[in-house]
Amino acid sequence: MILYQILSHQNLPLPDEVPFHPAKPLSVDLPYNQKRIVDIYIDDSIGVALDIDNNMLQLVRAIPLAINTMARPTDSADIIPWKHIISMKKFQAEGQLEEEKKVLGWILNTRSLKLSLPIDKLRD
Amino acid sequence: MSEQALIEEVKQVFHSKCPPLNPPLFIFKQCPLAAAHNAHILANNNFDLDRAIQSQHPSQISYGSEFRSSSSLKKLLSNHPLWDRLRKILDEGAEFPLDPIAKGTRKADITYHKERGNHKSLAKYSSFIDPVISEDIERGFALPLPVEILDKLPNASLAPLGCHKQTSINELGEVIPKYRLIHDQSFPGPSGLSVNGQMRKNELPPIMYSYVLSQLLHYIVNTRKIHPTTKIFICKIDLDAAYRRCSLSGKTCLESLTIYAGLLLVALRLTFGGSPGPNIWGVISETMTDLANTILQNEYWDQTSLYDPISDSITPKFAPTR
Repeated sequence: MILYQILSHQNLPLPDEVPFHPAKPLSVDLPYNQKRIVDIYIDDSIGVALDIDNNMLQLVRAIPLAINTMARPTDSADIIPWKHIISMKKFQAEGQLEEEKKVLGWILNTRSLKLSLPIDKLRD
Repeated sequence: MSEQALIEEVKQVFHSKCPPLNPPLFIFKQCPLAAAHNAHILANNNFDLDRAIQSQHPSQISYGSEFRSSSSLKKLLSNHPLWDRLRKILDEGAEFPLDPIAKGTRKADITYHKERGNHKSLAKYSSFIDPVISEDIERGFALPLPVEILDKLPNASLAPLGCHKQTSINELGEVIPKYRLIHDQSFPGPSGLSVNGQMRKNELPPIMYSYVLSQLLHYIVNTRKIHPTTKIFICKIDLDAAYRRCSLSGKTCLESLTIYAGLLLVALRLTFGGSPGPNIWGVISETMTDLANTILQNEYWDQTSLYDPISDSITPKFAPTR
């Protein structure tokens, strides 16, 4: 967990010596026409991108652009406290691009293709 | 709309300024004086909350005030399959499709809930919940009124509040406890009826979220199959108080009442406990996500000139593999 927390703040790929686990065949045939995608679960907007060309830059810029194209910009003149629709508190902690990321309570590792539960989910 | 026209429209909307909002007539303070003031405004509007909200337009309590207006978004989003629902939410607030409840039944249930009070979990975590409720009021998500006004509100429903302890993370990514306020709209009165129990589920938009994890995993494995040695990165962006960004219609607000610390609270935004929350919020979040994917696939989008500067702090600082 400590290692996970350290890694999650470096905005860096995993070390080169970590091998790429080969993918096994899927039980369904998927069309492949997107090098990056965005999905959402309630309030968690999740982006995945292949590390080619400017894919990752596009990914981290497309999500806030789409959100703030729809959301009303914050206005300091407003009487009622008005917070940015993107949670700035979590933005720094979770927005960074990583090969291992906690998503919907699970740790997804795109290098080892492993899905695991973080230690804080462990119950007696 | 052509790809080029679409990106021009994104640019135009993103850079457009929204008209200033008037200060609301309601006072959002957790105190009896503010509640009495708000009751007076409501009385001036014949206890019609919808009318009271509309009379303060444009203000922060206007329907859809957290978003750009439907007229601003129409050109960009009107071909989206969820547009008609989105436009209605932005213009009129989200409405729960409910089977009617007889007036006498409603009154008996309200009396029961008023006497019974909130769930025990609320008292157990009261020191944590107090600031949560204060923030709900101060941010204009809940309207404080005197409890005595309850009998005058048409088609009102009262439900108990509860608290669920869960976890979140702080700026450092450390796991911290979080206390989620629950508006238990499933809890029945003596009639056996509740707001959630009266829901006409077939009128709600479908929930898409259930498939997210499975979709992501399939996407990642499929991408690895095609690119066996290329890195795949994930980023996550969390929306602040997502449900509270979605206004409820005046009618649904009155179906979403609670009592806390001697004040009647009217939920003006989507509740944590109303069963249609995921369906209704999905109209907004799915449209937002589809827009992000559309931008990503648009060959005319220049990500170096059209982007939100807040992205700078998460811009990758390492070179792509290839």
